[in-house]
Amino acid sequence: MAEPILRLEGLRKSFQGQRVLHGLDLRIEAGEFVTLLGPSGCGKSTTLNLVAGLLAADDGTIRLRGEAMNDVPPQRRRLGMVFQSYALFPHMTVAENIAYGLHVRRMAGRDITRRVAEALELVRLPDAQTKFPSQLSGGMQQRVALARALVTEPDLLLLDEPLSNLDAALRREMQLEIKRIQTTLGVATLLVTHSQEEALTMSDRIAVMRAGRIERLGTPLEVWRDPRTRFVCTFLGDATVLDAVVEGDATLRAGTLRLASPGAAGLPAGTRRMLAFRPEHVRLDPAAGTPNTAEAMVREAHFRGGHVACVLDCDGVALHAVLPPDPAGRLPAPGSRHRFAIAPEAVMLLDD
Amino acid sequence: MTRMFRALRWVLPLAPVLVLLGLFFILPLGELARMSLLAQRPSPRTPEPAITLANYANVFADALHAEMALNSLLVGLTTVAATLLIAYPVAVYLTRCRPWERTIISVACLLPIFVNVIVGILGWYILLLPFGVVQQALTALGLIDGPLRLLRSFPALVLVLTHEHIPFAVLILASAVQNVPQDRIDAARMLGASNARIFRTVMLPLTMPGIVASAILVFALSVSSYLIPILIGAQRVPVVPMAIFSYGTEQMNWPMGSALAFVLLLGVAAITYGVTILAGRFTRRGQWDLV
Repeated sequence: MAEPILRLEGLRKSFQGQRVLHGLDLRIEAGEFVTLLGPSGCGKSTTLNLVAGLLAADDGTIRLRGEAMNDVPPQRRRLGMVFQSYALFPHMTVAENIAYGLHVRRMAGRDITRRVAEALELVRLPDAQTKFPSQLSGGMQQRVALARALVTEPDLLLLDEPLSNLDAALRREMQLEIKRIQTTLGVATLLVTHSQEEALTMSDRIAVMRAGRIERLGTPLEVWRDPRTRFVCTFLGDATVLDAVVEGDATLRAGTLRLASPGAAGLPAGTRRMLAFRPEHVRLDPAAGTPNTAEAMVREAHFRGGHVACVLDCDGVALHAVLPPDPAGRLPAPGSRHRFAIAPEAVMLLDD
Repeated sequence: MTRMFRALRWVLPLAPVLVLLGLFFILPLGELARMSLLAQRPSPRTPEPAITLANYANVFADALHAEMALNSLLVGLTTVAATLLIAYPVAVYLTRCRPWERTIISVACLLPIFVNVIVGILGWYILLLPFGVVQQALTALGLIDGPLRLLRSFPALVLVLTHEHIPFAVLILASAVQNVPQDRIDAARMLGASNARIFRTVMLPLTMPGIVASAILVFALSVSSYLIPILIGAQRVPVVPMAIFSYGTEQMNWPMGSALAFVLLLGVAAITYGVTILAGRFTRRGQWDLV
């Protein structure tokens, strides 16, 4: 197997006796986009700073292309980094900002001019050369920061919450833009974010972190469909989580609610687990003969434009459901009783 | 009517400052300018002397004045250079060190301001006098033999002026250094820059306003200082304020003293303005903002 671009082994870090990372392992293959996702304080930014060399690890190794980097200063690690604040040099023009890393490498002036122009072309800002950062919008500064990090052709691109300072519409645009640029160049990338939307949209693999450990590692679809723990499940999106007992025959029971789930097959009857399903997977008024149906009362229904958010009451258990909008504009009436269904594949089994 | 009210709303809060400036700055300065144009000091016998430019001609004609001006300029520039070289690293360290270290350095920086200038000078006196502390120590170590002229010298004058003015430079520079965000420095490092390059291309331009401000302050204070030159350098290093004082008190030639004071004032103003413009051009200030 080829040596990965980045390999972290048993990485540990404490701040003032407070353990922040507990032996973290991670690999990033060539061209791969990996995201560290987690709430604040989970150690994701610490991990990024250890890889960058801005912090020193207490224990464990950091390998870039197989080479141990623990004692190599950041300026010799051949990394590109985009900071949360973009960290553009305010006293330099856009072109000078991008050329900075090339000047450091003592590249010839003619080549620098060409590479800067190419980099600006790549981030679709060809006319910004002579502007100063303060004359640019947040999104444009973001593009310049990306161009500056990429123009030196780093082995690995580090993105530290790069989108958190942008408004929602721009954030969505930049997610796709960064992904496009990353795919075009095929540069291995490590993104740190607390936004599940960013992680799911951009990553090849997501590492969900909690309290200094990676709790779940996989492709966005894998992690979203089979989160395995309650923490990962609820961090990645809404879900109704219920304590359940295995009843044999791949069926789970939570209160009066009985649901079939392929994940429960093979588990001995009486095993206590948690079951969960996402509101998007709850369907109202299913066709006759649909498996996994039950009856519930509509407690609340809120029109949200693109969808209707409901809270259902199934014998005292609250279930969340997100329904597609009714073309005729009818909302489920609060107090009315409906049958609902959850596809067996959508029923997830979780540990704590 | 409303326009007058609007103007009043602006002028009223400024009034105390304007009155103060007018009474104690503009008025004396005008009097100084008038005095510098008189042929002689007004006296009961000649209450209105003739108006003349002769004083200014004398200022530039006297070779001693030229020597003093050169000394003042050299003392000012050397003191500024020495102060910045010492204060900048202290300021950088001050923004990066632990809280208790910061307290100690801040107190050490501020204490000299609370000590009376004369007391400070006398301290240096005891150190630098012939057969003073420094000389005795050097003799005891066998490094020198016989007396050494430490006190009445250019280096001694610059040393004491630097010591006197470092606190101001440290305080101004520390806030300038503090204002450079750490991630700009990290960004340069990630792009491969060495510490020397980061200093030259990021720290220096971004702290330039603080450097210029402290340089101007230290230069103006050093060049206009009278007590320290008269007590430390004395006649070996004559500077302009000594001549102004001499014209004003010993020779009672107020018009000459005024003319010389005015030339010193304009000289410092011109140098200050020139340095500000140059530094602004170097860092292209005004074209960019911190983002």
